[in-house]
Amino acid sequence: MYGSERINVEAEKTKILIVEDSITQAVFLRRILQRYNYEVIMAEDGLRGDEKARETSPSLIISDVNMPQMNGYEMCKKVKGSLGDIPIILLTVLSDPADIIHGLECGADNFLMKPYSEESLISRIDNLLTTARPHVNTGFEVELALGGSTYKINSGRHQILNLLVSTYETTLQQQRQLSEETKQRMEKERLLVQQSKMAEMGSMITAIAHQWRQPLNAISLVAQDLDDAYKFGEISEEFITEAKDTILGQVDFMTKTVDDFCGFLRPSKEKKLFDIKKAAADIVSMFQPYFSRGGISLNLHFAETDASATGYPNEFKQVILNLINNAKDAILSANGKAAPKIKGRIDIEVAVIEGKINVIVRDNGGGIDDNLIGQIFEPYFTTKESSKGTGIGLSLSKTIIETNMGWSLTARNIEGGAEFRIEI
Amino acid sequence: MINEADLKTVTVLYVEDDDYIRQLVARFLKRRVAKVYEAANGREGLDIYLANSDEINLVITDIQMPVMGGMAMIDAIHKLKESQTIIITTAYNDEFHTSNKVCRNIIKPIDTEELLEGIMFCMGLKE
Repeated sequence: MYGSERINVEAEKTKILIVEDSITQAVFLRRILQRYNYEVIMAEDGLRGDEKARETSPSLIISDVNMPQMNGYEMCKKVKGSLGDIPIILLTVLSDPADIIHGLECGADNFLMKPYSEESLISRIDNLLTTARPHVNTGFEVELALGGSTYKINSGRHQILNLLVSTYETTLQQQRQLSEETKQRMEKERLLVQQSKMAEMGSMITAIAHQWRQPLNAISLVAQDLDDAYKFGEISEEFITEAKDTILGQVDFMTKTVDDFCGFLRPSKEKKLFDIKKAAADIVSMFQPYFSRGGISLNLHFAETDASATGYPNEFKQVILNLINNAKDAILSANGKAAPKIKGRIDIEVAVIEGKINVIVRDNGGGIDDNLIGQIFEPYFTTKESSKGTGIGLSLSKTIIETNMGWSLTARNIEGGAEFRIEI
Repeated sequence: MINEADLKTVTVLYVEDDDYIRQLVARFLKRRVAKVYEAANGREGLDIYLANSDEINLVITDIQMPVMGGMAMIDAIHKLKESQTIIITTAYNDEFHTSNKVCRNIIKPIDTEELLEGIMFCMGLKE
């Protein structure tokens, strides 16, 4: 669209004045304009811009708004007032509707939002250079009330239309960009949540494997005993019944384990009143064997009083699992470095403090680095190797506890370790 | 190495907290050895050992158990009699559940052939 036929072929190039206090921005803009064969003059603030405009009579001015000495609006007003109609494009962040009013008041012809695309810049310049009409006072004044102030606008219809359309364009572009970014961010978050689910499944499978070891061992021994008992002439109806009952008993246990885990993985459909102590005890009994393997003891300390609250029980359990899993990783990692090894312990306390239920998870894994403790709830933050942590667990836990259930989740260091507290 | 028939003179202390497994393995042992003392945790095992240390030739023990774990019991037994022959049976093949101070580490699920071979190997070493 802006091919070679657009480029100036006349001996005298079209002059464009750039008024911009940031050197980087100015140079960036100059490069684009030179590529389209414009002659570029530069000024570093409104005052110099006004001077340069008088000296060089450019065909168009592109000006920043916030500048020392004299800002873009003032310069625009001054140029429009004394030099007649040089089209002016203002570069702005358009964070405030008043920007547009100020722009119209000063007589600017068009706006360009930072950061701008090369395409929209050239299209605006093109448009102004070929269609801009002299800025004639139409004789009517529009009064506009905005944010408690009244503004008098006397720009030409053409100019107002130009400005409104370009503002609309800019907003659309901004929105498109935003929705694209939102989409990308949501996709990234979805992937991370997926990854953390996978990690959760991983520890779940390991826990099931631990739960299944003893029954598998028992069933295997029953099978071997059948053979052995036959050799020793011990097989009787009673013997077979006992063997059958043992196998079925073990299978029942294994089935129950799988049911427990499946139930835990299913998201809670709705908030309901549930027993916090029981939920914490459930999760501990499911994962106890998995933890004791690493020599870590999981200890429960429950208040005598009732501790029931309304929330999502399975999600609450997932948060507790996340906290004790992190505690376990911290202990194992501390034990990897320190000698002699510490006897790992994780304490889960449910207490009622000043009428509020507190669920406190403490470990003796050395605590969190003071420089990092402020960031641990941020998404993607992790101290673990990439194979072990996605950095989403704690941030997800915080969202579940605070956004979904309206409780609070905080962390601090204590003697020898870390403490996470859920206040209900 | 000794013959299976030679085991008829051996007395075993077997320590395991899982009732089913203790019952099944003890049954397997009783068919082959002179006598099997059974204990459900390290504390019980140690008490039986203290009362019968002259009689017990071999200790077979699980590691992860309530009240007193296998490692603590092994330490206590070795303090009493450093030469005591011990076999560990554990579900976990790692540093917390195995030891190089014992004659054999057998990983669960227990293969009774492997256990028997281990017992004969360990008892043969003493002869």
